[in-house]
Amino acid sequence: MRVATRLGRKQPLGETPRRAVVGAAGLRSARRIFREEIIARFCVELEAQGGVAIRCATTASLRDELSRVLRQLSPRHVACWEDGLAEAFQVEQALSGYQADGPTAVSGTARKTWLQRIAEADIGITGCDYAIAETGTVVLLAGGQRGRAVSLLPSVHIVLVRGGRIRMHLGDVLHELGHLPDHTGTTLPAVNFISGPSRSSDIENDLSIGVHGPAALYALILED
Amino acid sequence: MKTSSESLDLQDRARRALEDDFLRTAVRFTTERLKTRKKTATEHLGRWEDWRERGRQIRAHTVSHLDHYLGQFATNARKAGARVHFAADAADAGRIVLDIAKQQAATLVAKSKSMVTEEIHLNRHLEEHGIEVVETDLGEYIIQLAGEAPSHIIIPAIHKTREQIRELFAVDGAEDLTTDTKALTAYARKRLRATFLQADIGITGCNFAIAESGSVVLFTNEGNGRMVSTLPKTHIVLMGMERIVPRLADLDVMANLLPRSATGQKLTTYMSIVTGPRKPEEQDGPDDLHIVILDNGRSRQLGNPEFQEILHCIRCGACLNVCPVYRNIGGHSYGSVYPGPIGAVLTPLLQDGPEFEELPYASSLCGACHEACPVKIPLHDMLAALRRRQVEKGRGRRSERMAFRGFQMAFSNARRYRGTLRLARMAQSVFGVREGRIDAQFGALRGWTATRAAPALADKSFRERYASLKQDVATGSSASGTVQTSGADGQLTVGQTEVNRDE
Repeated sequence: MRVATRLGRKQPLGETPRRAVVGAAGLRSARRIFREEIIARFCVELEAQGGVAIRCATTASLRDELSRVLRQLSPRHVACWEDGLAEAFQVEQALSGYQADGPTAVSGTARKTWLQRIAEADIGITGCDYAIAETGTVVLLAGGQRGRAVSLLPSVHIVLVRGGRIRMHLGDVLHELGHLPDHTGTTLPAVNFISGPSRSSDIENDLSIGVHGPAALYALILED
Repeated sequence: MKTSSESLDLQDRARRALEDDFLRTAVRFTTERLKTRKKTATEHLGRWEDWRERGRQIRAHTVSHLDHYLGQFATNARKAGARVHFAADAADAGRIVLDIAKQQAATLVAKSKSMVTEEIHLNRHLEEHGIEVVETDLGEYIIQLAGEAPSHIIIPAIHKTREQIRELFAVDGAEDLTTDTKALTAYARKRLRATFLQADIGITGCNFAIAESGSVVLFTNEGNGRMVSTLPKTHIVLMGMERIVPRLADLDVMANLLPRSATGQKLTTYMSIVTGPRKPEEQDGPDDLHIVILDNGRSRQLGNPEFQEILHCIRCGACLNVCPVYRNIGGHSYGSVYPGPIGAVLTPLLQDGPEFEELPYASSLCGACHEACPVKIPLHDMLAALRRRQVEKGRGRRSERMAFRGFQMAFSNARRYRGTLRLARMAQSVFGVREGRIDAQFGALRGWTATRAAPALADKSFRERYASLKQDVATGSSASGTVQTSGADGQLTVGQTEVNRDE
């Protein structure tokens, strides 16, 4: 009420006020962009942020690349989204032997144990709902069996990306988030935009990687 | 809003900072680096001026309809399951947070970096009630260990050397630590990881709040913001009431302006959109989300044509990096939570009282802050307006008032002006003119000439020369011969400068 009075109104404004433009409309060129350009740009930008981008033409090559990365890093154990991600990318075999058993439950003390398990994992594997080429960003929506901590607590984050989910600009993703078919009329899920590994320059401006979040980010991009 | 060096006044603090060579080098280096990176990042985006203008429009529209958008935000945040609290001032906000902590029987709070919590001295308040508060941003953790306040909005520990940091960590319990960045960072990671997992409550600030979805948006690089908003059972958001943008699409503009202006990044490593607490089917995320919306002097600026725009600020720190005063004296000299040009305007507006009245004078009014601002806030005009407010209150020095009265008398009448000039020409010989410059060793002018040269008055003033100059130009010749007509088009060339003849 105090705010409305200050602005010279007796009552807070009920109707949403009109305005000429919303968001970044008209600020970017409207030229058509092809998928190849988008994927290539995403890889360049992600690597500029210190991430590693690996392009895979088929699910078979993605499986091979994942196995190779895992062999290279030789983790004691790996945490993975349990929403059917491994099955969708056909990488169950590559993961077998790395994953620790533990609760997937979501309530009470089981949650503490679950978090502890994720905290002890060396690698976290997640999918992503979108990626952004311009900034080398992967976009993760939280949900059932898609724990937020999987992309946060382990020192390495591996993200599986479908080429068709990469958009050119942040604005494209924000637009789609505003029109999520599954979430019409309900609340937006928690959304995390991740651009490369965790970084800080707080000690004498010296860049250091992995201060709290993952120290490495691998994106395996399935092109087909 | 005071910091540790409160016993000294602004002048003393500035003088002390100027004598600290490490501080000056570090501040100069950091601000220069941030400035250069911003330049690259804005050029990369293209059409920066158009983005700035759009940013200004969005902020202006939101702030001038804040009653509507604030209501819309609160409604939608509640719909999403958040508890929304309104705090009129710092004491109110402190009470609200403490009540939540008591309800949860909390003993440990993990915080990510937030200027609003600095503004209301939240840590001190919670600690006074027996609750341990740990800052988890690396820079903030360092200065918390040192018992200091941030000296830059974006890089709080800009003033600390790696040796000082090593010593602070050693006192904190680190063993056999080197001054290597990797070693220091690894210690902080390990030490704070335990805090994240044990904390009962996570507290964050809020970079933007989205009215249409009731979401809070956090920009971080280290990942600590994600930790404290994901792992503890309760997440408390402290936000200034003006942090709002109307729609998700508007975040597109802000997310392009804020990181580019702050650190020269296209986007920070993490941008998190938090809408309500964890959904029932989720494995993690907080069970409770509280959003504390803080006024603390902000609503007073609404409807004030001179100062309403200060609420457009998105806290990027770009004005600090370009300010010739900040670049020399650093953040602590200001003695306020918000340093630099934004602090010199915001602090006396948010807080009454004599201790911050001198802040608007810690500025050269050069306008660099305005040019750097991603939402085009006319900070230099506001600094001048705040000074005027001081004078109107009668707070200026008596000698200054007399000087300006004399100035007005001498310069408002042509005859008196000529007389004054003649008098001043005679007087300057007393101060001593060396190589055409006044070098005052005593008297009122000494404050001016102590650090820079004041040019001496010419033997003949421009007004006195004007009559003969005019004649020279008209006849196409001059005493020194540098003025030539270039032909029938009537243009005159004076050295390198072209002059249009105006008859």
